[in-house]
Amino acid sequence: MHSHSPLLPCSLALLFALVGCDANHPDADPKTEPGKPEPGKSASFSAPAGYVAHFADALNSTLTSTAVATAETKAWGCSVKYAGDGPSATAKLGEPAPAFALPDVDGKTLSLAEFAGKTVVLEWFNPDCPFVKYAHAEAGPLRTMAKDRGSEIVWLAINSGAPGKQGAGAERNREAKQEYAIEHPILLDESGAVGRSYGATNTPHMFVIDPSGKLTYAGALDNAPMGTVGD
Amino acid sequence: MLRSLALTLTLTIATACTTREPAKSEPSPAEPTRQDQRVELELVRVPDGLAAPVIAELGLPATGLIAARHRIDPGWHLYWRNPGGAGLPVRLTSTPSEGSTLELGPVLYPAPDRFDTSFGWADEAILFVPILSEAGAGAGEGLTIVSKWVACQSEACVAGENHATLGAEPVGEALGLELQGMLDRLPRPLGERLASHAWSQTDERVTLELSLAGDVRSIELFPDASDPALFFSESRFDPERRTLTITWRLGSPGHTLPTSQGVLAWTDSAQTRYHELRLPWPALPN
Repeated sequence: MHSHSPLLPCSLALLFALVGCDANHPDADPKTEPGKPEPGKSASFSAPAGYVAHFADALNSTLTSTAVATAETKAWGCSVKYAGDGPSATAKLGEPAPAFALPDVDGKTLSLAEFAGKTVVLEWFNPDCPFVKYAHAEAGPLRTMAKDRGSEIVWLAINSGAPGKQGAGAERNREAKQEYAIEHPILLDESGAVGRSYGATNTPHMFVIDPSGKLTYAGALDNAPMGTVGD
Repeated sequence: MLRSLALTLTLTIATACTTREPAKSEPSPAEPTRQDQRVELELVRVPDGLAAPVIAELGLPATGLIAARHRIDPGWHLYWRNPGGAGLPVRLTSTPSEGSTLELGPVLYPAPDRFDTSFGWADEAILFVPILSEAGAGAGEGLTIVSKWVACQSEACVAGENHATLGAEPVGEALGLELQGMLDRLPRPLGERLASHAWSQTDERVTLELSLAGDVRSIELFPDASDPALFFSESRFDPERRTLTITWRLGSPGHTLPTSQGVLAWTDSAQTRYHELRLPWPALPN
């Protein structure tokens, strides 16, 4: 049972126990420079105790050409609002990422091939999914992560929602770019073909592709859906 | 394992601490609130006649149970402790009333239903909160619980929260039946019901085959989350051999596994019963 407790000793006890446990977690990443956000983590985000940044850790490893310790996690969030059933995923970790070409919200087509030689992040996106709203909110873990990375990476959001489903369509996603101050492209995959080829099941669902075009990570943003570490 | 133990102990400490803290607000007693159009929340104390047998069967160090009853709009559903493919578990947070000495235990989640790849409840979800200690009758009155949830249907998901305060109103017959139905879904210890089990492993998979004693017509597993150490693949019941085969795919080494594999729902000729499947995991590759 979770309880609200304004009593400082109790809060400290809770914080101490959780931080103390997390310090031994194999994914815990202590490399934080004073005054800088932890690499790959949004500057606006304050991580809860016990936080494990699965995606950011994998992105950092990919950028430094080191092996990704946890290359696969189960994504959390809303289900991707596909139009019915479709074929199984073809994407596999360690193998070339499936090629695609999709229009952005202004109708300009972008293809994965044009970013060959760069590290690419794919983020499955639905602007009205509460998990995406949380992640892109002012203090959310994705609010500034793409911008913080600058030209180091290519970040593509992909919306595989079918027409008429929650958060689908060019107009709503054009609005969402403003609403969430998103500078990277949002691509529309209304047939769901690209989403299915990657096995994207949730929003958000994160994928990392290394400069050689191989998939190095598939899974959750972190271990804290809506900011709460699982219990 | 250590992390789970520390978390449990810490939450117990935190809960105990709050019992000395006065409530910040004074919602009207026992009035269901409707702060979001998808879900209503109501708190009731489970009558002792219903609670006591369950407390005994579960071996809880509890003196009673509080029921957090969520009534869900048609077509929408809330999520179990492992939401499965999508969603978020319903999470409860308590604020005891001023001067209360109430101490509460971890939330008990009744076995869910399946929604495609997810696990949860439609129409009504009743979660139970054990009362670990209380000083005097009526100690729980004025307790406020906040429920945070994500509700989904096929087209959309929404997040919301409700709060409700425990009153002293008696539980009527209709509500008593609803409570009994959800109490029956609280998973019991497996105990001697487990007739046999065997683990096996390959380079890629971990498999558990089990059988239960008695007139077993079907068995289903609602798995607990075990990723990224293991990814649940499937559970398959063989009606000829009356065995359930559960398969997980190996994930990344070094991650903690849950204490429970999940909840077994098994059916005989008359009804469905629910048991916690809590076996020691086999040694996994490092």
